[in-house]
Amino acid sequence: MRLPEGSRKHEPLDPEVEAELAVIEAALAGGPVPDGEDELARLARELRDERAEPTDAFAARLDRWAASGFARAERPTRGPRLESGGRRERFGGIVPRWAVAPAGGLAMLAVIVGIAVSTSGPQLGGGDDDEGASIGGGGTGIQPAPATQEDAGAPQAAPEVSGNVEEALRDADGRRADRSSFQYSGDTAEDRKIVRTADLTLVSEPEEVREVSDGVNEVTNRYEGIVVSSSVQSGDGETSRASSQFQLRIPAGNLQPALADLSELAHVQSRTESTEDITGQFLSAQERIEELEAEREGLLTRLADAETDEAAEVIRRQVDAVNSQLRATRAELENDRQRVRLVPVTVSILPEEGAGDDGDWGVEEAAEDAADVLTTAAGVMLVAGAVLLPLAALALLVALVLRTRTNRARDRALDE
Amino acid sequence: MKPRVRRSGDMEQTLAAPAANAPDPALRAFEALYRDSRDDVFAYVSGLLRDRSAAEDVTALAFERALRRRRSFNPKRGTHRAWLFGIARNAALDELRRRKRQAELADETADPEAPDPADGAETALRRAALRRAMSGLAPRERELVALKFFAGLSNAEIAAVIGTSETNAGTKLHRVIHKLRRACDEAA
Repeated sequence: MRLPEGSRKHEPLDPEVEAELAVIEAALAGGPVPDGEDELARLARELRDERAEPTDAFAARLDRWAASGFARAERPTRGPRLESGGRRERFGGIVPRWAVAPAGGLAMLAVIVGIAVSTSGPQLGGGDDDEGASIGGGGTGIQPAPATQEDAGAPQAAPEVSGNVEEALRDADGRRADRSSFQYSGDTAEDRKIVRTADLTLVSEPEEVREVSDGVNEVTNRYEGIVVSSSVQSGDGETSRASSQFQLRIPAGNLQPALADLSELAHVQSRTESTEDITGQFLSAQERIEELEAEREGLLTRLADAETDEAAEVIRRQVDAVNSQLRATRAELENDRQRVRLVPVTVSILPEEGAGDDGDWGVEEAAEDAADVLTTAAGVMLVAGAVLLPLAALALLVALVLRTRTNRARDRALDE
Repeated sequence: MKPRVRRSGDMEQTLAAPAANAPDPALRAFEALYRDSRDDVFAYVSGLLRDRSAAEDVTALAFERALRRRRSFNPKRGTHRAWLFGIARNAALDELRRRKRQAELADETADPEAPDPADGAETALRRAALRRAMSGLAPRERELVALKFFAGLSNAEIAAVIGTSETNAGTKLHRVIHKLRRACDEAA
């Protein structure tokens, strides 16, 4: 370890030592020495005479090499001894020094790109199924409702978009309400009945709102859904205010792929899915229907045994009341069934904020764009710095450790 | 007795053309340093390695390294010569390390020199005794002798090269001289 220059001189030498060193200096300089120190002076001169001189040939070669600017190719001697320079010399022979910095820069750039790619993820403009999704409600989980036995074998035709929802629902179902229609394939009383809803907000360029709206219709048809209602607002002729909203019904089994395709139509601003477990309510309705049917059977038996017209009339009125309750309960159960089978999906399409109202690009827009570019550049530099600084610190630490090791190894070379 | 050793200042041909065309002040300074120190560096390295062939290679390597790092010289840390000899020292130590790694039995004895015909018998005996004494020195001691008597560095420069204080360098040098004196006296 080298000591600072200022600290090297101030320790006092032993006077005797100092005196003898002065004699040596005088002897080497050819000057007079104190009396009694002739032997020491002679020794100093004899030691100096033992100095080896380079041969004329080597000196000439070295001078020619120096004249060439110490070009590596002009080294006066070559051979295995030249590799005594150690790792640095050997490395320098493999990789030219001028290439080290660019190679290091390329390596750093590769590291930065690798980190950026691995952390960016699949963040496309349209998002994917799980981006921004929030799940609410008390359901047991988002599972598509199992198809019924009647539906399993019969492919459902995509219904026409119609303003008569009840008619369309009845057409899609095509069954009369009876006990067997409420049984699902493989269904048991323990199967959960989950009602789901979904809300999707898309953002697009104002001039693309209508095109995105067409896409919503197309996706709905593709997944055998229903467009219950739709509205498109043109914004008094200004595309910047164009927007649209859709109320859809998507079969539960096709909900996720339908939402995925809808999310691809434009940038997803938000996506919400909620669930509600109505199993208890569903089972209660089934039990109520069974009770009412049993009660009606009893009344019909009593009606057959009625002995008077008055008694029969009373029983008929009771049967009518039970039938009315039965119809209402069955309708309620059917409605719950439809809510499970067909998921209400609300799709809103909004224009992108900040889109040029008049389509012109002026100084203000240029300034905004410049600010965006500078912000992005600053962000890139910040991320690059966050990556490079630790790497640089690590490289510096490694270099210091290697340098220390090398210095110690060199020092140990003088130890026999 | 051999005449006093001259510094390598008598080079007439070498760097005139490059110097004239080299606007780099660091390069000009390096060229002057080379002219002044060429033989001294060889003498030091040769004294440390005790192998003339290896000394030639290491001398060339030392100047090459010094040329590459010429802009790293800081006058606050020592003289230009001390800086150069520090580089030469590292190059020589790398050679010693290489020898140890390869388990070479380096030529541990100095290259034999023919006795100077001009030397008398006594002088020849003293010289032989001195060489035997030097061959018995440890490498660190041999290095001090080489820096002081072969390279002609001052005590301050020696301290800068080996990384110690000037006082410590002087004290160590004094011990080596006394060791040699005793060895020569015993031989006599």
